[in-house]
Amino acid sequence: METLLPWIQEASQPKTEHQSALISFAVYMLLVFALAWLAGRLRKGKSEFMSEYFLGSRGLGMWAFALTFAATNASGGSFMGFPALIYSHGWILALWIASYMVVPLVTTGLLAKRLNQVSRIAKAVTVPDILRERFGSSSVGLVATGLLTFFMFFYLLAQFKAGSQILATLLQDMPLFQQGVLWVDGWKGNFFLTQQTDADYLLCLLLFASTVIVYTTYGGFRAVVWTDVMQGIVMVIGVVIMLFLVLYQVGGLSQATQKLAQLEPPKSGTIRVEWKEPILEAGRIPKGVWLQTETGDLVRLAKPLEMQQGDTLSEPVEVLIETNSDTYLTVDVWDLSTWGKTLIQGEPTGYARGDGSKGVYVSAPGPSKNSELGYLSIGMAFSFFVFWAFGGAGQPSNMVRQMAFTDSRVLKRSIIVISLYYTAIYFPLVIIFCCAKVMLPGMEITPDRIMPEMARTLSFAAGVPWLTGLIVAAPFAAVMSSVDSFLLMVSSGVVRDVYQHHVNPKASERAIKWLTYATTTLIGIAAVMAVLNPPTYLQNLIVFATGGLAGCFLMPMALALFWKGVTQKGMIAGMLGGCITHLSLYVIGYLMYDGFKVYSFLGIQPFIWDVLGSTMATLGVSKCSKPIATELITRYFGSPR
Amino acid sequence: MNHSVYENTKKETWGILLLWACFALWVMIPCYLLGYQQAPEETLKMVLGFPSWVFWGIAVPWLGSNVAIVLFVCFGMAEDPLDAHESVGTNATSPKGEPEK
Repeated sequence: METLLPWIQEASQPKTEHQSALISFAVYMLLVFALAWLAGRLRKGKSEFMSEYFLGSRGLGMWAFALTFAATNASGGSFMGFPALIYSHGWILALWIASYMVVPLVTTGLLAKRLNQVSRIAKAVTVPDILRERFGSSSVGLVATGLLTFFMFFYLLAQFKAGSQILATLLQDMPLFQQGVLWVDGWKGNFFLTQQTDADYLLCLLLFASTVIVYTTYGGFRAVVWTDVMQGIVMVIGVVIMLFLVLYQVGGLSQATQKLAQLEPPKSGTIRVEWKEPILEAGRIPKGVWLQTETGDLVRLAKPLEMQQGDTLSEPVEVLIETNSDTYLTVDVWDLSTWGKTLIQGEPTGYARGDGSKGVYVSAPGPSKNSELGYLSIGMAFSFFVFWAFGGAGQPSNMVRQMAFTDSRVLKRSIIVISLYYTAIYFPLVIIFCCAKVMLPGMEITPDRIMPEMARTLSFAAGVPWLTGLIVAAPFAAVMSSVDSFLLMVSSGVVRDVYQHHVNPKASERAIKWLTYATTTLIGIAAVMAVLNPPTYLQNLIVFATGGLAGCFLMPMALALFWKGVTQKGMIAGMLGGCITHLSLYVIGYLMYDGFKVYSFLGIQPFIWDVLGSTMATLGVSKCSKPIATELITRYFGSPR
Repeated sequence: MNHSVYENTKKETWGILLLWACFALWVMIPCYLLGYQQAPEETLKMVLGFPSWVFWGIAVPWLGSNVAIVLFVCFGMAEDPLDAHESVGTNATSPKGEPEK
């Protein structure tokens, strides 16, 4: 009889190595650095450091404005979390994301022109700058800076972790990377903070963070915008290539949808292996391996199956139980029958909605593991239609870009470009990953890996493995383009709004410049330190940060731009009102669900309550407090009444 | 200050909110009637490879929104000068908003 452990080692070897993917990815990274270097060189010729470093001298043309706006909005979630959701729930995600058809118009059209005008009059470089000058109040500026820095830092943490995870997924099978992991493993135990960190994650975090911190610190806003433009192009090229490859390889969209309609959601359960003879040497069967059970069921390991010396029965291990018979034709099943019997333990658990039903992936409200109501009720679908559009309009990172375009003609053309860009990205992603459900079964055990897995599957099947590097550069680009923008925003908040306005108003240009470099670097390092042992509820952190920012800034900023009656106290109350409502819903959620979850009062998106809280506070306090000086109203509205 | 930006943007805001509401209805009504009212076991109705509720409730409005956005931007949004009485560049400012010397 063949020995078990060498057989496992042989079977675990990657079927293919993709050095060409690494090379194309390295070329992409070199281009990022080249652009940052060029941007830094160009900035040296400019006389005004602050406006150039943080706002690119308000010189964004159509392509730069449109693509930096689109790329910053498309964070890691668009290319990792969103595909994972499509894969797990099917066509219903088209409705979940449908608001993106009007997002470009709402997020840019509602505030941009007026925001740009007011920021020019105020000579503002940051979002708190606008509010401070508009109300002639440093308190308003300080509250805005505090809230912005608080929520933005959470977002930064989440994106740093997402970037590192993507890099780890991309590089995991490469020998050079494995050597690097061994090297990190050798020294990480010497430092208190890194003792508990996984070596592969730590290596990727250091690679990712050093890249982004260096190019953002050196190049400033212009480097961020230029790299965003390139990253935006990489994203759309990646998606378009994947769309063509997937439709060709799956045999057309009709074929894919019909097959999808025949699929039932998988079940989950546990297995044990009863070995015929005691195990001679400890080892493990890796996560992701397909096995056939004694009763003929096909299961996929959701965790590694550990084998200890002397064992005759393995410990129970979680598995996904496949319910579709066609899967046998598409996956590589390990045959353990020579060494033992694979047995399912207890009763497998099915989905709360969709268990045993065909057609759930092509109908509404979609299958759900936990909710009998399905994945997306019509009420929640409407809530998301509100949230994506208006939540986007309230993001300070979007507001900064709206301060930076050249003129209103650029704005108008950019809205059209962003609309076409989002059409080319988001709807095709739904098509691609509905097809992925048909092509790659069992990915529910690691849904976040579906994007790189699909890129690899499609590229290798098409005979162009180097394309993998280009396609997986898309999610990496998405994370990078978000991280660099947020890094710069937090840094501008500290340097401009705290130091220059409150600590040393007479600081020289040279001092400000070096302080800016140091602050950007230090904030980046602080974020790295904070995610060395990353928080568990990462996606929740992103939702917490984006919802909080929109809740605090959307209505106060809109009212500041359009209503003469807002007072200084009203503005502060509005921002704090949004923040308090947001935090209260999280505190209630924490008490109710015993975890970092938000409470959806009356089943409505919490963002809507945040906006309501913020609006009522702004209006109520403004009506009861002293109006602002007539000169300020005349300055920003053209007339006192 | 160029007063037209303030006036035009107010009008454009109403236009944008109206367009958003129209597309919200265009998406929600067909999706609800064709998607939510049909049991998963019923025979799948498809149009061009999409489930019919996705085609009529999302794909068609999405294309329609692109057309509407182009028309709105071309005919509904004014090209206002944003810096008629202000310099294009920005200056580092003191806390009171005055340019530094």
